[in-house]
Amino acid sequence: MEGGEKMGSSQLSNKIRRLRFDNGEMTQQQLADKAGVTRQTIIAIESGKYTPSLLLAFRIARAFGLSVEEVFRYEGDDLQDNRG
Amino acid sequence: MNEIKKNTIKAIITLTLVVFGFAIIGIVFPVIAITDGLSPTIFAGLWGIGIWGGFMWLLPLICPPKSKKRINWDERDKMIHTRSVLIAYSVLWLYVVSVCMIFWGAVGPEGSISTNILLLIVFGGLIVFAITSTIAGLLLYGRGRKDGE
Repeated sequence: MEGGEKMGSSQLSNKIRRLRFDNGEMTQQQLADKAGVTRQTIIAIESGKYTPSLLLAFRIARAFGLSVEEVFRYEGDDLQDNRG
Repeated sequence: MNEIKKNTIKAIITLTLVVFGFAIIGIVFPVIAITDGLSPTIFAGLWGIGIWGGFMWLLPLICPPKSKKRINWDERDKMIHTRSVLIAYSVLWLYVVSVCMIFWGAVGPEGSISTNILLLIVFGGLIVFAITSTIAGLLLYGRGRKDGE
């Protein structure tokens, strides 16, 4: 998986910024309105300063019409890929 | 005037009213009470204000601010508010213990202090709680750092 911001001390990364641009240059406010959160929360998630709840992660993924795994990635998957 | 400026003005007005309220109730009344001696009824009223004032932090959790135009309170705000209140309560506990130890050390186990001091401790605790929760909230929100685009 390319790019993505690592989320704080957790092992999560996301492609929200790229997906926004790929979806008709969606603004942060538009994504926030679709996900039911504030624009500041979207900013914090994109920059890796905040890890969303499971419900919010699903809402963000549904805003792009994608699954959660296509938007967020758990870095532990890299370890399993390397072992496999 | 955009929404940010409106919210800033609202915050400044709220802060001014809160500080003014603290100054009048928290400082002036106890000073007058101690020097001139007010009736117990007024002290009871001030105690009530102090106790209920301490529960004001519950308001955003019970009645979260709502805007018809846009969401302005979400899970991240709730998390930050909860954490800042927990931090403030920890500092408040340290403050209460410190004050008690200071007075115990000052007057000794056989000494006595005026009960008016209790009122000052309560209001001092309110001020400590308010300042600590505000600073904790600002740090958790990450003010001063560049975020986003």
